[in-house]
Amino acid sequence: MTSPISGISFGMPTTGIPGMAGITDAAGISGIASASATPSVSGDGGFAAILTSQVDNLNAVQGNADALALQAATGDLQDAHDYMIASTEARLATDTVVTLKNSAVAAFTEIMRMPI
Amino acid sequence: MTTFDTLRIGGSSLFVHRKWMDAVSDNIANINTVAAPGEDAFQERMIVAEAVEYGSGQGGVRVARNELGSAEGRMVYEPDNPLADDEGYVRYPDIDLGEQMTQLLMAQRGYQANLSTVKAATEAYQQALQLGKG
Amino acid sequence: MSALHASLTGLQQRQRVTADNIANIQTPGFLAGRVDFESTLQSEIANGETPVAGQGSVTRSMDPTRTDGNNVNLDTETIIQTETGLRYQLALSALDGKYSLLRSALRTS
Repeated sequence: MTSPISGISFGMPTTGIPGMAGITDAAGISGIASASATPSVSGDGGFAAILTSQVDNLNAVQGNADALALQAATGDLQDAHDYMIASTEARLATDTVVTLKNSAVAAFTEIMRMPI
Repeated sequence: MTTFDTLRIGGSSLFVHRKWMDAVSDNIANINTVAAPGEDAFQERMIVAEAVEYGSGQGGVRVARNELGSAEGRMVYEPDNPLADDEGYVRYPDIDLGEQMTQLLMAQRGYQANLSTVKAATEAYQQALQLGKG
Repeated sequence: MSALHASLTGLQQRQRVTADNIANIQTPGFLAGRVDFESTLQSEIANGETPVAGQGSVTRSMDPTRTDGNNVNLDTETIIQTETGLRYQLALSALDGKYSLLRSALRTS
């Protein structure tokens, strides 16, 4: 991630970001669970690490959903619910990344607005 | 194994049961078909069902072959019948109406059971397609 | 949640095998199939492993056969079919519930 954000995370309270608690508590999703294995957002690069790992995870989840969609198109798909689960996971993972990005940008803008 | 496989399996059985009902109705229709003693009587037609690749997980059923019943028939004394031979006998098919009606009921029951399979599978698949939409 | 996914796969397989049983109710020599995925799932959960959404094991039922070698009992299969359908829908609702929970968590941010 870019240096301004990682430099800011040192002094940023975790509860200040609304919705973060909801995301880290939702450890059930197999795709997102791997990222929220590090739930403690403290110290240098904590938030940035979460955001990067979510973006990486997003690629994997979307790739899986695409592969299953291809199977569904050719008729090779064994269970219909497999594709529905994968596409929902992909959508939720995308939403998570977008939400995290928005929170990060909002927090950054907020801090940049502070009079020095 | 394709998507929505259960529908294919139920459908294959609907086809087999319909073939069975066709055979039975054919038998019942020809129950009084008279033949001269020199020829074969009308033979009862039965279908043999066979599982599609039994045990492999492919699933489904198909008609393996037709079997024909006895060609002997029953000899009945009808001297007035134009087909009767010198002794007045004609050949009737060896088909028992009661047994055919029983088979018809069984075929119907099997057909309805498979209709319910297709319906249950359709409902389950439709529900699965709603996943994550809410 | 992957336990729900694993149960969905197992239930779907059971539905297929039950459909196969009902389809072959007149086939001579046909033994009814039975799917067991619950025991694998339970042991995986008890051991704390993440359940894998794989296929259950299919065994042939050893119920007594009729004279033509077929042992499919239509009443049993109908009950299994209804129960499987209901459990499938239950698992789908549970999964859907989890997803809307996550979605609302994301939306409040």
